[in-house]
Amino acid sequence: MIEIENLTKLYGNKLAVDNISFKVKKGSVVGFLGRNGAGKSTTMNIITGYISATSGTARINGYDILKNPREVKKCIGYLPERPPIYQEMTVQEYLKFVCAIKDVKASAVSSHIEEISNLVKLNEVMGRRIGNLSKGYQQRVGMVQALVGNPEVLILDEPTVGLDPKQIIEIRRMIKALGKKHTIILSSHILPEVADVCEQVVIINQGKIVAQDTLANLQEGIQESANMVVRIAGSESAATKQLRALSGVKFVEGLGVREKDTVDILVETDKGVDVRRAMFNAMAKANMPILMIKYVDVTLEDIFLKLTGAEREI
Amino acid sequence: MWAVCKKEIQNYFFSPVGYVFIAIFMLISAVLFFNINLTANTYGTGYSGMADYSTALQNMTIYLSFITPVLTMRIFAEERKNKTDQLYLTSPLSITSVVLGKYFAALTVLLIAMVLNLIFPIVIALYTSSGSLSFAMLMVQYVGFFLIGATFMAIGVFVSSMTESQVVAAVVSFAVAAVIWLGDSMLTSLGSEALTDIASSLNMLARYQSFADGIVGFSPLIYYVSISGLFVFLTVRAIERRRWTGV
Repeated sequence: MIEIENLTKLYGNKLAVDNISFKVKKGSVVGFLGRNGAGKSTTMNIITGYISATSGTARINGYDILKNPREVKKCIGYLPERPPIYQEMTVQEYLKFVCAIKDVKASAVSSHIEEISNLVKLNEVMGRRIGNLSKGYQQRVGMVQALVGNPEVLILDEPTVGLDPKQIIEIRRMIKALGKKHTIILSSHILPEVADVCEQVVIINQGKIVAQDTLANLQEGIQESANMVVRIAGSESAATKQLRALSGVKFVEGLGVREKDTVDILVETDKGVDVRRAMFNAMAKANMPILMIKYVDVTLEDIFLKLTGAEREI
Repeated sequence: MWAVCKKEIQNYFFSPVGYVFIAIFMLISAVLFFNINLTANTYGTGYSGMADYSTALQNMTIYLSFITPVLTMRIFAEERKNKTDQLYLTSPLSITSVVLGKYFAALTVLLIAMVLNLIFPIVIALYTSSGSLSFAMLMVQYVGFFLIGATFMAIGVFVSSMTESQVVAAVVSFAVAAVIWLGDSMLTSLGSEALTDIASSLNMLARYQSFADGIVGFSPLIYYVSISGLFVFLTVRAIERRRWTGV
């Protein structure tokens, strides 16, 4: 569906995107992850034809953005980082204009606008000037603009930036719903967002792709052992001694006291080894009851920091 | 293209820009009308009580060139600054149709101003003996006036596409107009034949003369249309070029 090959973009001498390639299958939701300035927006601007690449190709449905820009642009809906809205127009006027420039049939315009604005609950503000709307509504107007003409591909550049938590949840829910019908590339520097919405992740750092895989595979890859935090009623030295004696346990470390007369301990085991039953019996025998067992998952944040070479602050 | 044109015309009248342009246009025409056609004195102007609108209209061309940036300065600069150009540059529209749509919108506002301007020749016609004001001749003069306006608009559109600052666009457009009006006499006074040729090719007012005399000359018509076309083309190229360089 979307094929990016050896894409490079130079701004003067500055290399913004460095020879990146990736593919997106029809119907998938791909998260494009990177820090600010990593090259996410530049890549998206190239795919949508806003700017041209210095070298490399971007193809959508087999059409090259440079050779057949019209065909490519017809099947893309783009929400840039800053929604391209005109402050002085009303929502209705603006959407009519977008319909006109995106070749929506004149007879279908009203019903189409109603249909897509229903998706983001924009109906109650249709007659208001865009400049007078809140940031959240302006973002939604930008979103609806991308949906005009029902494009197969949606490219959303940081769609939740600047929104309040409730709006963020709404927009994410909407993207998930849209993902059932559309192929979506979504950029973000917010990790839980990508973890929540996307099946596949492309991580970009300083213009280069450092990883691309499904989220599950990425977690698997980085996770060499299973970690859990256990809270035990008793002293640290006695508890760690008991835990170290269990078979399958690789590493034990006291994490300090979080609750009176208890101790928190990090227990690391080999992947696929379940020590919980043995641990329960052993600690019960020693009269040091286990009050809590919590698995510590590898988060996208861990993956991201590991791949981009940044240190994690504890 | 027409969608862009319609939106731009609406935009001129949602914002004060369209009204400001028309108001300034009418104010200057009214002052010229007063000085040239109404009063009997000749202070400063050298004209008095003329029962003919062509002199006033001819004078107006100079002022027109200085007020067209009001309409053209924001035309691309503002969109680039607000990044709303992302909307049409990622739509199936061609850049040419965007440029033409915006250009025609600016021309429409000029036409509206010109229609309102007809009040002055109408007043002349009402208070002079019939036949002293030729309708056909007046129309030819207006055609010439529109062409000269369209040429300055095209230059202004091009300047606006080169920057994201409306102020820079306006100032550069003023400077271009000034050079066009003043450069002619400067180059001619240097005495070189080649420079005089260049001067006459720059001289927009000289080409207006045949329209003022009531003749639709083929050569001046082609002159204005081709300069306008050239700058529309350059605007398309400028936008296209920026997609490659990103600056």
